[in-house]
Amino acid sequence: MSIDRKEIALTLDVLRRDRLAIGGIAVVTLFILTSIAVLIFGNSLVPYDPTVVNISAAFQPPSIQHLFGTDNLGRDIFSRCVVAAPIDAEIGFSIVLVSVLIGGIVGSWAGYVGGKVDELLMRITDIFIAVPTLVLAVAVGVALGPGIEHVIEANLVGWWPVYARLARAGALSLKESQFIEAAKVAGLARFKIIIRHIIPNNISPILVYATLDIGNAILYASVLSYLGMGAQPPQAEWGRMVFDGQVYLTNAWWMSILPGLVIFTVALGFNLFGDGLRDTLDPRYRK
Amino acid sequence: MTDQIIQVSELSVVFETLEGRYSALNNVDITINESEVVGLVGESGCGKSTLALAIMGLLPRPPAKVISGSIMFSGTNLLRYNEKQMEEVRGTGISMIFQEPLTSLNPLFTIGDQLSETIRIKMQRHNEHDARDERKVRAEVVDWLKRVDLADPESAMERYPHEWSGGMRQRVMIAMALAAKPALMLADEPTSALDVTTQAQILRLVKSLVQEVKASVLFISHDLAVVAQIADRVAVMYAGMVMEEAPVNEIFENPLHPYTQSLMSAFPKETGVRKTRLETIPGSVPNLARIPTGCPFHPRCKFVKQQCSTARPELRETSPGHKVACVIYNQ
Repeated sequence: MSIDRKEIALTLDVLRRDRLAIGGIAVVTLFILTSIAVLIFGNSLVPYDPTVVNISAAFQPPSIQHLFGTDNLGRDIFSRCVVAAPIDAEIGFSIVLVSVLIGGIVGSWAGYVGGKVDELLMRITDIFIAVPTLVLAVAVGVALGPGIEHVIEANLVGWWPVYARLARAGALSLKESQFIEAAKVAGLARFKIIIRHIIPNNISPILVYATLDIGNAILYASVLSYLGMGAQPPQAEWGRMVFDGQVYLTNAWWMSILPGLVIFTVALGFNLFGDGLRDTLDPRYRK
Repeated sequence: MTDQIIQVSELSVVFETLEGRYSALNNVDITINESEVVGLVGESGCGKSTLALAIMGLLPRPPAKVISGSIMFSGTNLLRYNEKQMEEVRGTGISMIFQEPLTSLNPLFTIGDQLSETIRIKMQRHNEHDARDERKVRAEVVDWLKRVDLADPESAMERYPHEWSGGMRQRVMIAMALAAKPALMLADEPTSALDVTTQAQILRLVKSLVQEVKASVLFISHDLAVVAQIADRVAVMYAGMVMEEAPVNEIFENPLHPYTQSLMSAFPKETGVRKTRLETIPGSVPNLARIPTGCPFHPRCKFVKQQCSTARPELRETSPGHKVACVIYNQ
């Protein structure tokens, strides 16, 4: 599949006119670059070692030395927020990517083939939707022990069905289009029609939703970490930091609020970016 | 001209819906010979497209259901084929072009991509070893774009469907339908969505290309003028039945069935200033759920006789090659 250069130029042009989307892109880019930088440079990237305890420096409010203040163990919250970026990126991206893959294939297949296959696949999907993710995640956490991987696995169970439904809806309407009929009369096998015609035409709505969704996935994972299922101390993770700080909310508000703001900003960034992307891909916004 | 390419016999198709049973095709007999263009005419909703889809094995099932008949194509009954076997027939055996060229191409791929897909299918099925040879495929794509009279085929390959007009896209569809060298091409109103000048060009193109690849054609249209230009033989359909079938000159000079006659008189004459109002056929096409008993045309027929409402007339040959289903000619 070749992507037209003009097409990309047009997309960027439409995006450029949307200030909110630019803000979103800026946040998302910063988030991704930070994650990559942390993966490469590790703790040497940040001014303070995020795991070293220094009781004498505990509960310092935000200042020039400690931008986000310090926590109950005297660790620099800003440094901890930065080194947590790749963990939250991993959570967000892997939940959404795997969901897009599973959901996209299941949904496209079910929608296009129809009949009993559709019925079967979608009922299975419904079963997964019915599973209360949060409860399941807690159960997985208890059974397998807490950890980032388990948070991701537990979230996936309830996450992909949305994509299956989305892809199925797209496939259902695509199936009726004339170019699918034309592909059929040209003798193209069903499998190839799905791969070459249904899935590529189905991608853009899914892509937009996925972008919006990464923010949600990070939020959700943070909730699980907040409940104690995700990252374990001393590893830094945003949701966990909010959780750790809530005991001290009245005398050291920055411990919870500032990591919370980071989660908020990243989630908002992905939302704005997704909104912009949707507008961009909407043919009515193009000439 | 005696080798039969496809023989549809006594084909009946119904659509079973919640509102009732629609009888879309009723004992349809149609034979198409080698290198022959058969025109299929009739008003909207008379079952023309249903016939094409039935031949292609693309009837939406349910609600459609074949209740009787056979479709013989190269010695086998296509109705017995499963989906996998039909896939093998489509493209290289029977291909099809549609009314809407604007939506018949995938908007995400270039013209060249889509045409080479068809060519690759043909090469694979004919066991040519070139299917993986990108240059050979490309050369054939360029060749076909040239054949359908598209200027500058080298750059045309890189174009996307939305950059082209309906006429140009229909040319690509024709190339796609014929590139696999099918024995039979079904053309479902391929010119109806185009303006008149483009229509004439496309018709000429189809005619010459079909001769080149020696394909037979079932050309579906509601426009008698279009059919007159392209067909060798014409079948007239009404309410899912073939009412009359004759060579093209015969049917225009000597239409026998009252329905065919009404169709002709409802059609503007080519020459002279129109002095009289154009005739119309009184009434409208029957609802396929409630087709009149006997001859389906009898409520609208000028020559209606008593037995018309009870006995369904059979298609009978009145002179060589001219068949009509009407009691007037049965005595």
